[in-house]
Amino acid sequence: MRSLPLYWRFISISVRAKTEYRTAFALTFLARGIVWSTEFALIWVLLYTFKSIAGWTAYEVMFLYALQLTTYSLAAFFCFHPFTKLSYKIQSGEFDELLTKPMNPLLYLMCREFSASYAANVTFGIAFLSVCIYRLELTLGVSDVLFLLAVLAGGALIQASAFMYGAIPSFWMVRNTSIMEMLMSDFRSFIRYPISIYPSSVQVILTLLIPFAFINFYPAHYFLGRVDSHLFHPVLAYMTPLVGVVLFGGALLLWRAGVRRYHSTGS
Amino acid sequence: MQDLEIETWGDGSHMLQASMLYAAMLRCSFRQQTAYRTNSLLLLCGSFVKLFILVSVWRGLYGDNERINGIAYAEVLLFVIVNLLASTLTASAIGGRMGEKVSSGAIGVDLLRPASLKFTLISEQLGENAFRLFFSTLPACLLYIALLGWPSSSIGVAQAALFAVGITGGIILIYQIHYLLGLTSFWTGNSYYIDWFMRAFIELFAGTFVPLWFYPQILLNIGQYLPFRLMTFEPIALLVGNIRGWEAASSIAQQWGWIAALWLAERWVWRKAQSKVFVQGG
Repeated sequence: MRSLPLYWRFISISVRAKTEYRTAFALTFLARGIVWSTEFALIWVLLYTFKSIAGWTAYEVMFLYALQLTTYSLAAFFCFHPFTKLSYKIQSGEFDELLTKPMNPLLYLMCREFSASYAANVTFGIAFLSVCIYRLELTLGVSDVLFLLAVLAGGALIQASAFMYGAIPSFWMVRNTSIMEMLMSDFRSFIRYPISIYPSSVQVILTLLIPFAFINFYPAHYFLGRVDSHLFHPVLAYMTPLVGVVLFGGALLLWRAGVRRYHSTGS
Repeated sequence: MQDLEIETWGDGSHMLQASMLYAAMLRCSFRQQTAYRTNSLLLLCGSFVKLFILVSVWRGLYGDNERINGIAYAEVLLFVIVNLLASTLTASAIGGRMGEKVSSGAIGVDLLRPASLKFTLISEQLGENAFRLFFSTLPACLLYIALLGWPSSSIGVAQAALFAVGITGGIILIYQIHYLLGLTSFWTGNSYYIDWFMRAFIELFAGTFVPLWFYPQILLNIGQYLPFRLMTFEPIALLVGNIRGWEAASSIAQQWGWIAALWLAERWVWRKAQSKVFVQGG
């Protein structure tokens, strides 16, 4: 922990590097904002005629989207670059460099490759959350707000774990960019909608095997005061932080095993 | 290349040679894709998942209703499948590629080639897309239909023919839009945010995610003055018989009107762009 200030330095350097070119930063920020806002608005358009899907109204589905976007972006700050490039680093032998540093290689990687541009996503995610809370006329007490923060943290840990479980197998199978892609982009799109629209087998998978449903679907039950999914126990609405911690713990163990397994390609 | 004057479209034999050249480019980029075979398997799974989610969403939205706004559930299913296939064929990275060429200066070499930059880019893109269509999206759709059944919607020969005409025009229109957008990189450099911005804008008005049948009136009114609904939405409406008779003729006429207008705009922008290259010195 002596090197804590150093990690902070890496992050602030990355932030400064991004904000150095103000116009470029602002335009990227704006472009991303427009893309996310369009996706957000399209959910409203989707439900304009139909009013509800599986008993969820437009703003309730949009609340799911906002939770998903915010937690993804929080995780992507630290995980996007380190883990999408991991298999390349292992193939090229660039990973050697990490092990020569007198620091924890994982923390070093996450902080050095911190990507400040996800600030746009986080900002818009939080804005969308606020819009939904306002339109749904939810009144959140102090404990509710605290729980929301815990849900965001837990969700971010689940998202981070997905990045890690997708990339770490590269230590064993050198060519493996696609598992990652599959896990992140394809499976994540399941939770854009309330998972109760899928057959129960898919719901079980999203709860137990790849527990993405804890990112938004289950905690949303708490905030929206829903009791509708008969398939599972109501206690699941409170489990997000725990699921996040357990998954992330597992990901850390896998990372450690991977690093131990690592033999440089020597190139 | 065999002939340096390929670009002069004077007589028939040159035109034939030119189209053979672009067909060869298309085949090359198609074959290049075979190097990524595992990738296409994963893309297949991805398309299958996408289809599965969309069908579940529409099933959930329709609930117990057979028809909403006069549109049958089977027609929406057909829309989802055809739209997925069409979007594979019309995916485009032309804007980004142009941007790279302009900012790296490689555009100078491309302008010297005895082949049109526009058709080179489009042929390469089509080759890639055709590969994805045949080895990922189409198998995913067939697999889906085999497992879960074909949407039972009756389609007449006339509707199918109208669709064939409509979707051809739609695809030409999409490439025309992509290329025109790509040309803007002569002024903006490699600015991917224009791509992003336009993609969002198109998605909102094209009716590719939510068919325009279910749109709020205000968005429809704006969309009426834009070409995007003519890309894939209206051709699919022709297929399911939602647009008929004079309206069908008008839809196709509007398509070609837009293609002509955008083509003129492209000529104009292209002339400006060329002088821009000379100023930059390539």
